[in-house]
Order: sequence, then structure tokens, then C-alpha cells
Amino acid sequence: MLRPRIYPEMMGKALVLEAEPFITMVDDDEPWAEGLFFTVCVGLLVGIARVIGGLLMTATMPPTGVMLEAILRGMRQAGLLEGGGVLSISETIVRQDWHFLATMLGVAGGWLRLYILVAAPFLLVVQWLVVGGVGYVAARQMGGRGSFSQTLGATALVAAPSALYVVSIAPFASVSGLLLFAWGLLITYRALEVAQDLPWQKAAVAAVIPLLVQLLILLPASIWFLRWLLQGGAV
Amino acid sequence: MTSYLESSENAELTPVQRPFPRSAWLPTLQQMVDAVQLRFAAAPPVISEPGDSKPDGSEPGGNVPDGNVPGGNVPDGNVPDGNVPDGNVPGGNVPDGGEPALSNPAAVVRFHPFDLTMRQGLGLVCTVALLAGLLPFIWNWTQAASIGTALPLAQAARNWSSPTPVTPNSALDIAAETAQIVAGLPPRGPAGLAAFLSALGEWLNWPMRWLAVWIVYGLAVAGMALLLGAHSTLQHFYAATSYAFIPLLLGALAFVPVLGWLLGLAGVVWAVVVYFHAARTITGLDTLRMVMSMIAPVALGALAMLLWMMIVANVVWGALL
Repeated sequence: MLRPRIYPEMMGKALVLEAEPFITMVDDDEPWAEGLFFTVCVGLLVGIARVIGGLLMTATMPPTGVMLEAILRGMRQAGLLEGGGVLSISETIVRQDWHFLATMLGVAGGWLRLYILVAAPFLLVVQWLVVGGVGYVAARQMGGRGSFSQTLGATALVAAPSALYVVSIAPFASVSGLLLFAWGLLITYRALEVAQDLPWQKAAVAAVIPLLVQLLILLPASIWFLRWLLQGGAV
Repeated sequence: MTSYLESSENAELTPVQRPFPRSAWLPTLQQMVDAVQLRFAAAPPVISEPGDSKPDGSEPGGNVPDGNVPGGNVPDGNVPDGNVPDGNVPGGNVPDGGEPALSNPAAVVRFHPFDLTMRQGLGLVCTVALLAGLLPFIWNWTQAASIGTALPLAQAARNWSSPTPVTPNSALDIAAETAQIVAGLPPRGPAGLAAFLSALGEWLNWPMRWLAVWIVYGLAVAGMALLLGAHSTLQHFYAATSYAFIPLLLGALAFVPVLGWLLGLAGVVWAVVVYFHAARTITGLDTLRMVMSMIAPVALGALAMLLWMMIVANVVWGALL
């Protein structure tokens, strides 16, 4: 049964690693459905906060086009644009990347800023499925006894630290990705310990494995993204 | 050492025992004072009624020499003295799993610093960070408002301004000039609102940054300590180490020239000392192992960052050349 009313309390307790919210999720009649709904709710909350934050940031900054022109003029003077020196970059690439990053930050204007309303829940659900799926396999290998659905229910609370993104409603407020990563690891550990009834040592090892999988995906992806930006991929 | 119970002689006794009112989100002021004075290994509190005075000033229920953990180890993160279940106050008058009960409403209970939940630790870190960021928030707001732009642009203009250019038309001078131009551009919304909202955002970053240090560094230290033989739980570890953020309040004056810098440095040193004492006491590790647990994550983190920067530099260099 979906119980969004208790989600804030569950998030608070999960953040301080109390066992109660994990037990609630495991004992739910449909843990995976509850987990999916919980994750989507957190994602929507984050998305709404980011959209409002983007609108407010747009209001606090000068027009992005005017800022870009001022920066390009400085780069031209310093010889950083194409043909100016050893470390030079194409003006076209700078313009394309600027617009791309402005869109990502929600300051570009237009309807495109609403993309985050879909992207935030989607990314959180993907993260949840990776953590839940890999964590389940790892925990079963360690002797865990919980079902896949129960594991998915408990590991949905990994989305709880992402609720901190609510602060991004204020322009220039941000949350460290490392903080979300580390807190997510702590919650994964607690979720696997409760859902799979594992001793803490085995739960810790099982929790680290999804983290490593995420790192294996994220590190090459971020390097590719950086190269893509520098080579003018954001057309 | 002082007693953990102070009671008013003139207090009126009530027949009904009431739990001591205490915030679920913050430790008491006395716990914070004890913690920053490094009184972690003091005897646990015992709740007594007026008349149970300790004329010789000895600790109630306590024969623990200051600074020493009884038996050397603190199993499961309990308060030194052994057998305290899950952070409850040791001693006779404490209801099972709850707060100590008082028949004297005016009595003042002094809790042990480790009689703390992770939730209270979380509240402490966030509250202290917001307090520390309050003065800088006001300072930043006025600074940004005086220029009439958003805080990051005002800061960029201030940081890049060079009163005496070293070489005319050098890259640094051009960057400074560009920063000044961008900061001088009018924001889309009202300038006062831009200054306020951006300063507010920067203020909210204080608890976010401190939480990052508390959680990420704490996870690394706790993990290392567990490998070296610690027995405390993560919740107790995080709760105990949250006190280390109180001395960082001194960093609130960082915007004051020279003095602010010195106070900030003193706050950081004090915070490290509090962190060390709290972590050592709660984990029961000896000094050498605790030092190793605290230094190893910093070294590994620096190494990982260096590696990452080399990879990024390689990608940037490859793309630009």
C-alpha cells in the first residue's frame, strides 16, 4: 500500500540510519511498488526544487548572451580563441558548450528548463535499480535471505539523501555529489543488513559492490562527457 | 570535575516523575560545553533528587580518572563505564530506553556527551553551520548589494581586481577586466533581490559543506577504525564526532582581515582535537591507531584527487592540442 504521508519521516530516519524505515519497507505488501513510488516522489521533489531554483538563478544573473559576449571578448584578447595561441579553443565550441551548460543549469530560459522534472526521477530510479539489483545479487552470494522485492523496497531509501537537493531552490546553493555518494553507501549498507538479515561485515561488503559498479559506470562516463564538451559535441 | 547533576535547593518537588525535556534534534548546551572541553571520559550521569548531594564533589557513580576510558575499550559505542544500552543514560533513575525522569522540575540534569543520537548529531552540525554562516551571509549580502549584482559575480570582481597590474595586457589583467565587466552587467531581476538570493544560497552551502565533511570523512575514518579493531557502531561514531564542528564557529569571523584568518585556523585545530578525542573514546582505539585512522583517509583522498586531476588534465590537453 502506498503511504506517501510517512515518506518525510522515513527519509529522516533513514538518513540517521535507524532500522525502522527499512523494516517498514521490507514488511510492505508490495515493497518494490512502494520503493518505486518513493523514489519517483523524491525525484519529483528534487525536480521541482531545481526548476524553481533555475528560475530564481535566471533572475539573479545578467542575460546569459551578454555574459557570453563579454567572456568571449576577454578570451579573444588573451589569445585563448582559435588561432590565438597553443591552448586555444574554437569560438563555436565555446558558444555551443555555454548554451548547453546554461540549459543544464536551468538558466537558459524556455521550456527546456523543465527537462529536469523528468530527468531527476528517471536518474534516481536508474540508481535505485542498480543499487537494488547489484546489492541483491551480492547479498545473496554472502548468504542473505531476503527476497528481491524486499531488497528493492529497502534500497529505495537510497534516494533519501537526494532530498537535500531541495536547497538548490536558492540560487548557487549546491550539494556535494560525494556527500550523496557516501550517504547512499551508508543507507545501502543498512538496507542490505535489514532486508537480507546479514551480519554487519557481510552487509558492508555487499553494499560496497553496487558502489563500485556505479563508479565503473560514472568515471568513464564523466571523462567521455568532458571530452565531448571540449570537442564541441554539444551541437 | 563537576558533577553531572546540579539541583536547585529551593525547587518544589512534584509527586509525578516527568521525563527531562530535551530536544530530539540537538544535544544540551552542557553536553556541548563538556565536549569542546574534551570531557568525554568523565563519569556518566546519575540522576538524583535534591538531598543526594555530593559534598566532596566526587562524580556520582564515577571513579573514572579524567581522560581515561575504563578498561580501554568501549564496546558498541556505549558510554565509558560499560553496559549502557544504545545511548541511554546510565544510572538508576532513567526509564528504560527513554529520558531520565525528574520529580523536581527545577533540577538541571547534565547528560554525558555521548548520550547523543545521530539525529541530534545531524541537528548539531546543521545548526552550528547555519550559525557560523550567519555573519558571512550578512557580510556577503551587503557586499553584493553594494555592487548591485549576484554574490559570485561580486566575488569574482573582487578576487580578480588587481590595483597594480604586473604587466599590461597580460592574461591575468584581461581576466580581471573581464570579471569586472561581467560583474557590472545588470541582473535580469532587481539587483537587491539578486544580491539577497545569491547570498542566501551561499549561506545554505555552509551546512551542505559541513555535512559533506561529517559524512564522507566520518565514513572513511570509521571504516579505517573498524579495520584497526574499533567496535563502535556508525550511529554512535557519527553522533560523537558531531561535536567537532562546534569550534568551527570561530570560522564565522573569517571575513575579518588577519584576525579572522587566525581565529579560523584556531577553530580548525580545536575541531581536529575534539574529533580525535571523541573518536578515540567512542571507538576505544589507542592513540596511534586513531591517528592512523584519521590521517589515512586524508592521504588516500589526496592521492585519488591527484589521480583524477591528472586524468582530467590529460583529457583537456588532448582535446585542446
